[in-house]
Amino acid sequence: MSDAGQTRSNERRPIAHFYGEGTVSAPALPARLNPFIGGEWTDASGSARVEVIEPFTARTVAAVPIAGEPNVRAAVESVLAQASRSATISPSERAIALERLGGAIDANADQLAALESQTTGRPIARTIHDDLPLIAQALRHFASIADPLHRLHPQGSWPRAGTVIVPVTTRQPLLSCIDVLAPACACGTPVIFLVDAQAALPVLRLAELISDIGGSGSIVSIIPVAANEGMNLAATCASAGAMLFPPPAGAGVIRPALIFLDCDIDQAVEGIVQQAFTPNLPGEELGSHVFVEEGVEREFIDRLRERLAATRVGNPLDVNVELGPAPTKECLGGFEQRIARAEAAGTPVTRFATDAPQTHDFVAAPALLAPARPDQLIARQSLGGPALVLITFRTPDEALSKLKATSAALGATTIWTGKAGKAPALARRISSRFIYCNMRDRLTVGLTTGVAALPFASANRPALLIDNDATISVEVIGSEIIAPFAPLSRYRQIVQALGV
Amino acid sequence: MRRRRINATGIHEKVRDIERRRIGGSARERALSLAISLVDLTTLEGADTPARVRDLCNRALYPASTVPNLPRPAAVCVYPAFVKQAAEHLAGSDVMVACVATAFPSGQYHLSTRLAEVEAVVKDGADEIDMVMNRGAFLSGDCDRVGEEIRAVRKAAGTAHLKVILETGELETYDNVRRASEIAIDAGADFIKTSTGKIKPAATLAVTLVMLQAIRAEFLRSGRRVGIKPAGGIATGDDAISYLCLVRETLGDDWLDKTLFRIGASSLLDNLVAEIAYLSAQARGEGNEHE
Repeated sequence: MSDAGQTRSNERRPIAHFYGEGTVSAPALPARLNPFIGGEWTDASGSARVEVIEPFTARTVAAVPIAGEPNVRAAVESVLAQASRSATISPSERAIALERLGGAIDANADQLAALESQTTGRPIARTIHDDLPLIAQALRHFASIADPLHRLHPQGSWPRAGTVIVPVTTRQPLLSCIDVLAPACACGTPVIFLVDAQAALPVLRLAELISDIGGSGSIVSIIPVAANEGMNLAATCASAGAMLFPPPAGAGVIRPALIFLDCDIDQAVEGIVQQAFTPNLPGEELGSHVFVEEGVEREFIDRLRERLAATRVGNPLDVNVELGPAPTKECLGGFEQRIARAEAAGTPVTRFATDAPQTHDFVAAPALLAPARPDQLIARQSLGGPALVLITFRTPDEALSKLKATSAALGATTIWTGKAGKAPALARRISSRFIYCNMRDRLTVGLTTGVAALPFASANRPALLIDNDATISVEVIGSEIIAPFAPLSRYRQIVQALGV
Repeated sequence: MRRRRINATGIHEKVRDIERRRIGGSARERALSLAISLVDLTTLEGADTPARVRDLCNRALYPASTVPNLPRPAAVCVYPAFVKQAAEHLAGSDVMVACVATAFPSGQYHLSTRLAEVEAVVKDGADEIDMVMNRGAFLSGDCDRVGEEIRAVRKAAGTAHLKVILETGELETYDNVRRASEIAIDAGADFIKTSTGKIKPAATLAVTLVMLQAIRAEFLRSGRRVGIKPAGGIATGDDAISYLCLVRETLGDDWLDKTLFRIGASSLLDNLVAEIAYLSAQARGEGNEHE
């Protein structure tokens, strides 16, 4: 370790010097780029096409026809017609289809991961090792509960049909889709996905897999749309009877982390940096607001600077890279603007030189903005890029008060502390849908005061979810998965074992 | 000394992340070559003979005849009985003579005996001493005694470098590994080493990471650089590269040097040389050539 933190682009050796070429081959494109409506491939209603750019190289990889309103209306009519037919499909048939889709995902994981990384900038180490296994797991999980779901909530109690907007900023279009597709298919609810064309390639490949399976695939529509057209077209769907599913519960404006004096600094730094580089949940943007207890501020900042200075930035298709480019220039421009405004407003900003060649327009250098105040604009707005905004506090009450003073809507929140009892007590006072408590013990536990939404989790997304003491979903890292709607007594056993 | 509790989740996450690294092409050749320069070429068998040690030393001096410009291993590591021979054989070269001492591998001898052994091997020409920590005292809670003994060996070793072997396989928990690392560092160790190689598990990425974190904490606290030596079970190029990545990403490029990083291994050198030969041949468009 040497003096860390400051920009020192001339001193850094490029990532290729040490790691070399860990890059996977560019993936084959989906055979079909058309809208997939009600289980059938159709032509786009207009002639407009969107050039899908590979952000790391800025080259065009495909031209995707984008759908217009006639396509969307046709989709709605199709799915509403399907809605009545899907009631005749038994839960076991739906389960078989989901299981088969899970197998198809496994078999095509490499291509799906490469397509997603290539077009969204999400590092392939994440897509291949975290996202794709999670997706397959989710499909199988919902396959296993299709029958109990049907018995607990028979057809008719679910929405008749739904619409989901998948923007490119999600960086995880596949997971965004599966988050809704898996439970929807388990329940027999038709869904229309309006996917930003820039993010459409992996989702269109998914559509091919669904088409190959057939059966319940008829209740899925995947429609590439122009950027920023999603809401207008979703309104069209809603007016015709397909309700807009709310954005993923984790999507929010800021993603705060609370660092307490008694936390494991090494793990907290690593977790915070990973949080800043990758979303916890689909729909979240990059970046994190870090509230640090004053007693550990110096040590934390020093350690954070070291870690940020060692960021491996580069081609998202390189398995060694941990931070890829922004998916679009607009995303990156917005990020750089926010950083510049914060600096102009007096917040000290440190940029960390990256290993990526400086010629790539889509690559953002990680940034640390410290210290900031909760009344400053940067403390209240989503960052949309690899940046950390640091605010200090003296006591837990002051932490909560400063968090509240930002007046921001909260995305996934993490609490880093070594005391098992502190985290749940704080979590109940934070208005965030998802709260992850990272304690010094072996288990990482998340608490939410909202509706149970994720019955599955991974090492990146552990979940102990409480829904008014009624609906519970629990997963302990690496140990066991418990289906949703587990009995309250099971939750109490686990809580007791944790000593929470 | 503040007790630290290690979060196994975080350790395992980092190890999982490290295992995903892939180094290819010319960077792989450079990494393998770097790994060779970090090897402590070791023979620690009851059946060791002067001829075996002679061959070991020759191997260190001439690691490969078919691949030019390969670096030499950092050191040879032998039993006390062979230090003099090795020192004479390697005189004038840049290969160090390391010696396991203090009643290796158990360490369960009287302190005076262990110190006498250290003094004797230093006199015979050992550049480096690999001592075993008193695990009995540690596991019975007598950490003060552990530290005192290390200090005594430090003094007896004079100017020779001191590596303290924690024998992490016997310590069982990451908390113990961290605590033992801190005791050894505080007592003056130049290096901390994972294992004797005589029991399983020997070195693992997880325990090595715990030790690296202790080294980093010391550096941040005092500016003092302590070395790391994972030993045992590191046999392939991929293994070596995982450790290179782990050290680089925990401590930085400064630690990728034989003064601060060693790999204790017996068969690793052969495998590294063979792989470099193969990569070189491939680069030249030739067939599969092994030494």
